[in-house]
Amino acid sequence: MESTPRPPMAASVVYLGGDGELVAGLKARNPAAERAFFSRYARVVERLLRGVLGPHAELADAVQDTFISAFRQVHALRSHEALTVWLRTIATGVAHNRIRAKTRNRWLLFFSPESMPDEARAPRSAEATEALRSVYAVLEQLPISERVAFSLRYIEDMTVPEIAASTQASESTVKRRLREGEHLFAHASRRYPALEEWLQEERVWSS
Amino acid sequence: MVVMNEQFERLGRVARRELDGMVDRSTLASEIESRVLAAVPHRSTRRFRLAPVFALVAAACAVFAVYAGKQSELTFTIAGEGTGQVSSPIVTQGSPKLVAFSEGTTLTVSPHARVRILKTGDRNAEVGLDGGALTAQVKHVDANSHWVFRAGPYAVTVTGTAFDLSWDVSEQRMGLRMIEGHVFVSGGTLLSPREVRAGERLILGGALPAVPVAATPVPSETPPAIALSPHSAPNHLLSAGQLFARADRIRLQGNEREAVLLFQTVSRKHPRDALAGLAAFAAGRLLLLQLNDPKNALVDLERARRLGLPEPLLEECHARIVQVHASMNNRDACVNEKVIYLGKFRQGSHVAMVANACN
Repeated sequence: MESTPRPPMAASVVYLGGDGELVAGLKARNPAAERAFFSRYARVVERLLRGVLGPHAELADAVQDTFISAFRQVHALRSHEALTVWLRTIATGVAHNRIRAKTRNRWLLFFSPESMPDEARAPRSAEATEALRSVYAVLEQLPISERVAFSLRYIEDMTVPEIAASTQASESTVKRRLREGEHLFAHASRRYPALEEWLQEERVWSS
Repeated sequence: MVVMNEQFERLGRVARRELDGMVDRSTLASEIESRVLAAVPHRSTRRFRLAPVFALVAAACAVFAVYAGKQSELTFTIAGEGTGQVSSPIVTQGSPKLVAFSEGTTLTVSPHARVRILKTGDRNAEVGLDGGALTAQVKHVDANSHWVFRAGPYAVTVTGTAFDLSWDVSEQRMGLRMIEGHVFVSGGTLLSPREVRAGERLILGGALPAVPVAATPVPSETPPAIALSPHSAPNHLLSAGQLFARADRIRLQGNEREAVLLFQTVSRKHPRDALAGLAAFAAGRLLLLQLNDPKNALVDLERARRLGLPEPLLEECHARIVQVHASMNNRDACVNEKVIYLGKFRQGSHVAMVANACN
């Protein structure tokens, strides 16, 4: 028996309705709603995950994990107004777990900051690419909670209340993690000439 | 601190810009979308897609029922407690407990351990060792009755055999000592299942890093595997893998100079080991980038190149050699290495750096 062909996965899927209808559609397991949900929020999730995890090859896996989790948990979502925050919370949890797993297997990733896959690489300049690698090499050395807070604040440009919501922590906890993360980042970055030079350069430009 | 925050914000902006420029978003989004939506079951399509599978499974079940007859699931009893329940923890205090299964398999749970029978089948079961140690004697019923023992992220797959298994929660370390038969271990840091045979011992994991340690034959009087500690043994007693793990742990603690010495020990004392090239490269890289010692870095980088490296690291190794010659003003050598690099790695990630070297 021939299987029913799935609708094309085009980015042009249109799902008329706001987040309320979208959530209702997701709860009803409506495939059009699922595609629309992905189309609407993939970029939010991808940006957050890339900011926290860095430009490594597992980004697609992390995005996939986030959406699969979201599809599974959507029945527990009470208000569609919290959809973005809810999705960010799931993505932050996925990122947290992936960093923890990486930390356990850190020996395998010893060289990862400089071993990005070719398809994820389109360097704009050698200096900026080195600086980016150094940023993630430094972030690798931070404790997970501080790393996540620092990445969300400075790379994702999120506010403290937004980070608190995404990490399910109080604002005072986020502030404490940020302070600690900033301190550790500043200390560790001294060992990365590319980063230090870049920071100094920025300082000169900004003065 | 305000100035520092401004620097972080500027750095974040540049990182964002770089990250945004790295990936062809349409390709990535399309790839992920296909994967995500393919992973979500849809009632309308799943019914049709799985129909042949259901038919096959039903047929297989019918054949199996005729062939093997209907069998009930295993049951088990805990000494002194009676019939055990699936998923209920079996916790020992000062003395061991014997868990006996209806088909003849026994587990001796050591003192201060926590075990759960995760599920039972008609000829096998899945056992979770949450912490501590146990000795298993799994009865061999047939080649397809696989028992699974889970310890942290690891899984030990068994047909019929006897072994000691331990899981150290605080160290995240699994110990396995085979008494008879053989098992396959998978999960955790293992990239592929690993066979462990009678008389061998396997230790996996450790607080940091989690590195598989080669299975080594042990005499029968050796104490249980849980007593092993690759973290405290002197260097000369360690295998290449253990030394590499120790070197990397020391590197992560910030003691680069000592880490370099250990990496060099791995590459020089175990040149035939698969980790030798990687260890030499690690030493050269630390010397060049962290300890600002290009002269000695060159020795280790060239050694790494000779010993062999995976392709992405080989590319970086060549690039670092160019970088070393450039920093030491060895113009001729720099140009030679540059030509070699650009000939071999036109798409390499260090092309820009190499192209600008020794011009």
